[in-house]
Amino acid sequence: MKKNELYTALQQIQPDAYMKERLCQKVVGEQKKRPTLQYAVTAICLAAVFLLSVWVVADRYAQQPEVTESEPSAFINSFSIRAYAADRTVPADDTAVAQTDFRIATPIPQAKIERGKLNTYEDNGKIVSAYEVSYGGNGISLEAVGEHIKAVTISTQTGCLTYWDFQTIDKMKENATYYAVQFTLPQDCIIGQDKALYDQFKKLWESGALDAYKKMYFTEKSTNLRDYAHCSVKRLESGEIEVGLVTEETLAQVHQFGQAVTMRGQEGRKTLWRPETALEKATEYPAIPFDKLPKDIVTVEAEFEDGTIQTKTIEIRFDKDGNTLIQEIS
Amino acid sequence: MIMHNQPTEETFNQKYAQYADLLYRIAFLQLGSQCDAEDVLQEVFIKLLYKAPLFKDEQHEKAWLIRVTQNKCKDFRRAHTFHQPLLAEACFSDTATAEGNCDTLSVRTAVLSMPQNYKTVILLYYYEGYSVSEIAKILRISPSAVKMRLQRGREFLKLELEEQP
Repeated sequence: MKKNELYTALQQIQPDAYMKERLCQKVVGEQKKRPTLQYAVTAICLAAVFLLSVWVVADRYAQQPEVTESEPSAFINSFSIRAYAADRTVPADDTAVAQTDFRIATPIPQAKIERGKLNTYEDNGKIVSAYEVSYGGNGISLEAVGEHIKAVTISTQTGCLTYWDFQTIDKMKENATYYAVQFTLPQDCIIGQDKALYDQFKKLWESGALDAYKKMYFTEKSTNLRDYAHCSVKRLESGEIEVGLVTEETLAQVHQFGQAVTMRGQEGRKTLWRPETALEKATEYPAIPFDKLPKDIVTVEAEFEDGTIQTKTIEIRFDKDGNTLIQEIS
Repeated sequence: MIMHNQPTEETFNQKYAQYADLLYRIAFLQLGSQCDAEDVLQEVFIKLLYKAPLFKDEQHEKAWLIRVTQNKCKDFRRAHTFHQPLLAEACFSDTATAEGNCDTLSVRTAVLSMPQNYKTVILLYYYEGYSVSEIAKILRISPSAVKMRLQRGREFLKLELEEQP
């Protein structure tokens, strides 16, 4: 391959002629409205928080029972952290797989950074070797286990957290409020599974071949897939293909992502943790030993029904073989 | 120059003419989809016009924009893991496909299927003409990492193009 072939190939990646106009409208036009909206939303939120705080404090003073020394608290608020490789199916009582005691640094089975295929390249006359890096288990599921827990907040310093509120998703699906639009296509409409299914659906959708469905199911709703946050395309047992579109607003209710997540409710309080920074470093610096990769400090804060809060901090690091080690540090 | 006041259409047009092609290429290579690349560009231009720091000169501004686009693409990929990228062939505009010959299409498909880390380095080196040390400064990585990514990128492209019929 010649340099000019690469140059030509890259040169032909260009925005379409109308992108300038579209972006200008969004960036210059839409943004003008933003400050007003932001201030309004902030003001409403602050007012709501203030009123709620006043109500909670007043309610607590009004209803607080007298507690004497002869009437100790009915329960002791405590919780433990459970961790296991995320792609494993973990029965609730399988302590051999789901680790809960981290007083000493404890390895999590199958959650391991590994170097795969060795690639060798010549760089300015020198032979350079580098491994592909993968993280077994697809991440670690972290849970706070205990009674009378109202909410759990988990935060990470160098990792990344993902939380799906499946309880709420199931409830919304039962009430038919999860998908903004849902419909089924005949089984022979698209061939394939998973990614191929989605790709083919998207192509058909944009080609206009499914315009009949747009007319039938999208009355007063956008038919542009980009206006939805999530598009689920799956084959049902009957062979038919079910399509479901989820809006940004709905997704925001059931999905959290980033360096901190808050989980409410009695069940399903588990979040997926991934060592993003460590994986990046391991990829960028192939020679770095696993035990020298950046460690993570994860804080788990449990809020109990009586309003008390308990916090535990764990350190997550890797040993020289790449095994994930978790240790409670406070 | 800081432009935190309400930007005008003229300011946008000026910045668009200067940087849109480069930033679009970076975003498209990273995300593999026109729509997603456009979304990222929207965020990048909003950041440039409303929240940009004080730039020493045009080069500084350009380097900042490249870094912001890279980071926005990274955020986008993390936040939209459920969005499947389109097939590379489907992403090319009709005009480009019509104009491009088979070899160019093969090269472009190979570039799109490269690991994420190599794409921007390849683009900055072979298309924008930046030197290894300049790329290292822009992307805030070591020059040896840039060299390694270039080398691996070249190897990757070679293998990909050899495998194609």
